[in-house]
Order: sequence, then structure tokens, then C-alpha cells
Amino acid sequence: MAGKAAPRIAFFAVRYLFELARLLYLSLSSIVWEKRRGSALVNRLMLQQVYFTAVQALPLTLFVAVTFGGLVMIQASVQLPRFGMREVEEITGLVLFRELAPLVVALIVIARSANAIVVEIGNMQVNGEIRALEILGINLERFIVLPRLIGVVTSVLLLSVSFCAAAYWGGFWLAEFSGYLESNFVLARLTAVFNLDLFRNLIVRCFAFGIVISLVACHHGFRVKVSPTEVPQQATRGVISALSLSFVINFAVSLGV
Amino acid sequence: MAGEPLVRDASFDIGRGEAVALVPFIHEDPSPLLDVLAGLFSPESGEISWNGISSRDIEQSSPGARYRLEREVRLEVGYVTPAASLFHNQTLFDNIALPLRYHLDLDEDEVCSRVEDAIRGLRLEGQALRRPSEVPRSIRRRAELARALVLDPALLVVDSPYLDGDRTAAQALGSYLEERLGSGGLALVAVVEDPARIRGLFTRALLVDGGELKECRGAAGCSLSEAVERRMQRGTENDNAKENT
Repeated sequence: MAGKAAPRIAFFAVRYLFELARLLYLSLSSIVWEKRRGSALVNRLMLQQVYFTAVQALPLTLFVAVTFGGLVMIQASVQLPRFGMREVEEITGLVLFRELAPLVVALIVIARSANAIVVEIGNMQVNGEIRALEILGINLERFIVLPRLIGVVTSVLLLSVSFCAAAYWGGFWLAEFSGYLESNFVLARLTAVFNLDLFRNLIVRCFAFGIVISLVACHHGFRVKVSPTEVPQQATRGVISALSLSFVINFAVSLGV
Repeated sequence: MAGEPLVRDASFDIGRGEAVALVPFIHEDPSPLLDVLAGLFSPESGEISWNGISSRDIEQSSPGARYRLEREVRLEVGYVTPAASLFHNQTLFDNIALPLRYHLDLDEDEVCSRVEDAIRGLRLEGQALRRPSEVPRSIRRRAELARALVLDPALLVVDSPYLDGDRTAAQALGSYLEERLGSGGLALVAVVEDPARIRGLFTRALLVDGGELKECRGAAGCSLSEAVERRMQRGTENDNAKENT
């Protein structure tokens, strides 16, 4: 039974990825097809997306960063020496800034923005607004997908950098203040983790997460056809798909970069 | 599209300044025909042209040329249908201004001037800064018409609820359209279930009946009133046939 299901699952997975890739191609190629048409509107939508996704999520992100950072530093300073590890700050830095920061930010963005994008586009479908855009000759990929794509990628990058900064400073001082941070943990050694390799890794993950989250959300929004009851169904599917793909990307990038 | 063809072997021209009423008989839904006239779908056979842009040329063009031609058609044809609504998170003013801001590189003063002309023409003063959910349906319909007309299309295609609405809306729309038709810049095709509502506006009527499109011109002896009478008579015949079965 598993043998029969696997090819079907693989087929649907490949088709799904193909649909996302097609949406990415159409969005980016709309820059060529449409040139400057509607650029003021698209830029305004993009800035709105950055405001909703990054600026409004900043307090939550900083809070999570400080608590995560403090927790990881405390646990690393206490546990790692027991196993004979001396490079406590280096391991902490790699785990916190390379692995956790972009992934936690992606989870926050999926929970807040991916859901909202699916609902917004889904409601536009049900209300006939998407049809109106088509009738008015407005390119859907340029007007709806592209500003969200650029906005979400920019937001994930900004939030990840903020997360790293907050975890570095806030996490350290929270851990220090709690009294649980061992004296062997030196902030200066943690600073040494920040090198070109780390930034490159961070940027690759942020771009990948941002592109996947925005495309998945837009794709599921467009899948809503006529009924309002489809909107929460597609929102749930969109969130699950975005989460799954984010974990897969994280794994792949960790192995490859 | 699946099912019986809505119209077969139809051939007609619509010139600038003409207003054509599509009068459907009872149980006929001419919306798919409007979609074809508006350039959203190609006819199953034959050809349709809008200001020299032919559907056949579009189909046979390269992807880039097809994209440009389809967009030109979208700019030449204004289409108003209940399936395409206003944007609920924007004011009526921003809704009407959207096609101008997207397609034309105008400064905001010029955009405001054109939108205000449309607002005055369709008697939407005082409503422009409201959102669609805050105004009655008749106001929303006039705003949709304004949005379709703001780019000065060559052809306006209108579905029935917009012209069969309340008397104030019909009068406002009728006088505005007369002005645009009179200047020779616009052609109008509208589904009208009761052409008497906009008496004087339409120059021709096309009856949609059982897959045929029958032309009625005032001079050829089939007036709009006769079109309405035939429609009502046919409706009565259909109802009697159902009772007898």
C-alpha cells in the first residue's frame, strides 16, 4: 500500500513545486512585461507588506530572540563542558544565529503573515475583486504576488538580523542577569562567530524562507474559487505547506551551505 | 465552454456612438456572450475585432505580442458585471482611480481631475470617500461603471443589473452615457431586460433567443418596445408550456 501511495505523493509534490516555481517565474517576469506600469502602486503595496510583516512582528520577534538567546546560552554554558566541549561560544553561535534565528523568524512570519495573505487573497477571489483586476487588465502576478514576494523576503531578512542582534545582546544580558550563565561563557568569543560564512548562510536561508512563504500563501489564496468556506481550508493548507517546506529547506541548506 | 452554444452564426458591427441593447428572453443568460464581447474568452468559431485588434491575430501571435494585444483590448473595452466587484478596503475614489494609476503615468492632479469628472457624471458626489460596504448597492454599481469608463474605452459592455436598477441610477446613467455616446467616443452594448427603462438611449436591439441573435433596428420595424413585448410573450408561452406538461 505504501508502495502505491509513494508515486502519487511524489507526483503531487512535484506538481505543487512546479506550480510554485511557475508563480515565481510569472511574478519576476512581470517586471519585464509590465516595465514601469503600476510601479507606484506596487511599491506602496510592498512597503505595506514590510510594515505588516516586519514592523508589526518586531516586538514579538525581539521578545522571542532575547528569551531564546538567553536559554541557549545558559544551557550551552552549563551542559557542553560536561561532555568535554570547550568551544561553547562557537557552538552556541552556530546553533543560535545560523540555525535557529532564520527558522524561528520563518515560523513567526508563517503564523502571522502567511495566514493573513491566504485569507486576504481568498476573500478577494470570493468577492470578485480578482475578477475585477483581470477585467481591468491589471497583471495579477505584478499587482498581488510581486509586492508580497519582495515584502516578505525583505521582512524575513530584517527580522532575522534583528533576532540575531537581540539574541546576542539581550540574550546574553538576560542569561547573565539570571545568574545561571557560567563564568566560562565569554561574549567576545561569541562575537568571533560572526563571519562572512555565517552572513552568507543567513542570507541564503532568509531568501529561501521568504520566497517559499510568500509563494505558498499566494498560491493557496488563488486556489479559493467561489465559497467563503474555502478560505479557512486553504489558509490551514497554506500554513502547513509553508511550515513543511521551511523545514525541508532548512535541512537542505544546512547540509549544502 | 461546455453545453449548447449560446449564439450561433452571429455577425454584427457596432460603431462608435451606437448603443445596442441585448434583450434576452426568459431563462436565457447572455453573460457568456458578454464575456466574449469583452475579450475575456475567444468565440468557439469565428472572429471578433475591437478597434482593429482581431481575436484571430491574438491567438496566432507570439506570447509577447499576445500579451500586449490582450492588454490593448482590456484598455479598449470597459466591462461591468456583477462578478467583478469594487475593492472593499479602498474608498470609491481609489477604486475609480485604480486603472488610471496602474495603466497611465499621470500625476495625481490629473488622476483626481478625471476621477472627479466621472464622479460628477454619475452623481456620486458626497460618496467618493466612503468604502463600498458603507454605501447602497445602486451607488456601488455606479462606481463600478465609473471605474470602467475612466480610461475612456472605445466599447462599454454592461450586464443587466446596472441598467435595470433603481430609477435614479438609471436616469443618472442614461444621461451620462448619452453624453459620452453623443461625443462619438464610445460604443455601448448592454444586457437590458427592460429596455423601456432607458428609452431613447439605445439605437438597436439584439434579441437573444434559442441560439440566434435577431437584430432589431428602429427603422427596420422592430422597435425596442416590440422587443420587450416579444420577450414577455415568449415568457408567457414558456410558462404555459410548463403548466401543460
